[in-house]
Amino acid sequence: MNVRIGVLLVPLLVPLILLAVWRAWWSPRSRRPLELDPSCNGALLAGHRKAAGWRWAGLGLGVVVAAVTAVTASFGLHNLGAMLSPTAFGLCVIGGVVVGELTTIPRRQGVRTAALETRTVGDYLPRRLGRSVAASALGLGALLVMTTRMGSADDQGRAGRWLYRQCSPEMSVAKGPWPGSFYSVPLGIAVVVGLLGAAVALRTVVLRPRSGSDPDLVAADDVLRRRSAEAVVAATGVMVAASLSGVALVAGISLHGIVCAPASWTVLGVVLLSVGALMLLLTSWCLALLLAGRRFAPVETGATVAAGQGVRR
Amino acid sequence: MSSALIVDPDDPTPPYEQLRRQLVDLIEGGQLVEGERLPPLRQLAGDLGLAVGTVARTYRELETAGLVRSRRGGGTRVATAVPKPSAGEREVRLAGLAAAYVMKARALGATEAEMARAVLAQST
Repeated sequence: MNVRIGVLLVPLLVPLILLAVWRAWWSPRSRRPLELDPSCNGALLAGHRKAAGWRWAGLGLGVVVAAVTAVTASFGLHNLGAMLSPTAFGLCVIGGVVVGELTTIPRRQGVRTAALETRTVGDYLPRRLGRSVAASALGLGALLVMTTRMGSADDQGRAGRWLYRQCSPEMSVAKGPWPGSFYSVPLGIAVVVGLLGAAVALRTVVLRPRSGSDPDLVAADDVLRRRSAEAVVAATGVMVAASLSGVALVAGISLHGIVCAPASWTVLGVVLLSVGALMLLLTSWCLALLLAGRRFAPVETGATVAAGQGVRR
Repeated sequence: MSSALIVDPDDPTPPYEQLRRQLVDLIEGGQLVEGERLPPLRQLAGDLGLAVGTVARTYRELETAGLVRSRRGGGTRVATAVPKPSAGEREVRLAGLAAAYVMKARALGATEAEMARAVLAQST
């Protein structure tokens, strides 16, 4: 939101992203490949590679779109673009997952079989990450409501850009930028769109047709669905956690800069700065999960399918 | 639920009827018990490469027969516990299934030994 805050965040984010990349590529846990028996189903393996390719394409596109959004949409819009860039990134990754799922639908030939089963989104969601992302989304909603209510118009009459404090009848203090309605309304709309996109993507993952009912194939297919669902939740996590981090840090810094702030504002500022730092950790965790995709590449030798266990992080 | 449903596009029986028969057998055979949920319409239609309307028709027919019940938001579930067929009934049904199999296998030109081998291969 603010150039100074952006400069402050860079030294914080760089080690976190490096940590995420290390965890994804070199940590011992990342070296667990997805075990699929190549003789089990060649089409499934090919589908997995295709889905992974689209996921990486979405990720790459997301980085470019987020950078372009952050730079171009910021001109004349008071850094609004930088705030929307995590959502743009998340939507691109989610789009990549959806395209990947749609392009791996098996072709139907001859006798068709289907396992008599009921698949739900809950079967494939990563529990711990899902709960963290859901809590962050609720936290972001609550924080945006609060900052919107506290915001005031700036010196040029733009609603919700500053935070005012009347210190005495003769003196008042204004701090900006403040994540009031000027920022919170577009951000709220963008995040809601992103969450709807994630819901559509998860539904696509669940409803993608299976290519048969063989128990080994079903187990292997479930592993791939879990990987896709994890990517969707991680992308949603980047979207929500990075946005919450930005809003919380900006609000926290603004609250600390007011000389006559009541004690409650000071406490709130400390809490928001802590939340902002915590959300940076969640963002890096989600990035690690997205980057870890390559390590799920199937091995060429494997006696059996990793029945239903997959690689959980 | 570990059973599988099969649809043969070359079978002259309409797909909805193929599905209906299999589900009736599973419910009457006790493999689908009371309260067990059937796959959602869109999921089953996608897995079998059928139109959603085809699977919906199967479920409607089962509902009309009182074997399943559908509830908005709750999916389609097996309605009643159907008593398992007696030994005599089972024998009659098996004979019917065997007759249909033998007729099709003979039309293919299979010998008795080949037919027996195919049955054994499926049952092990």
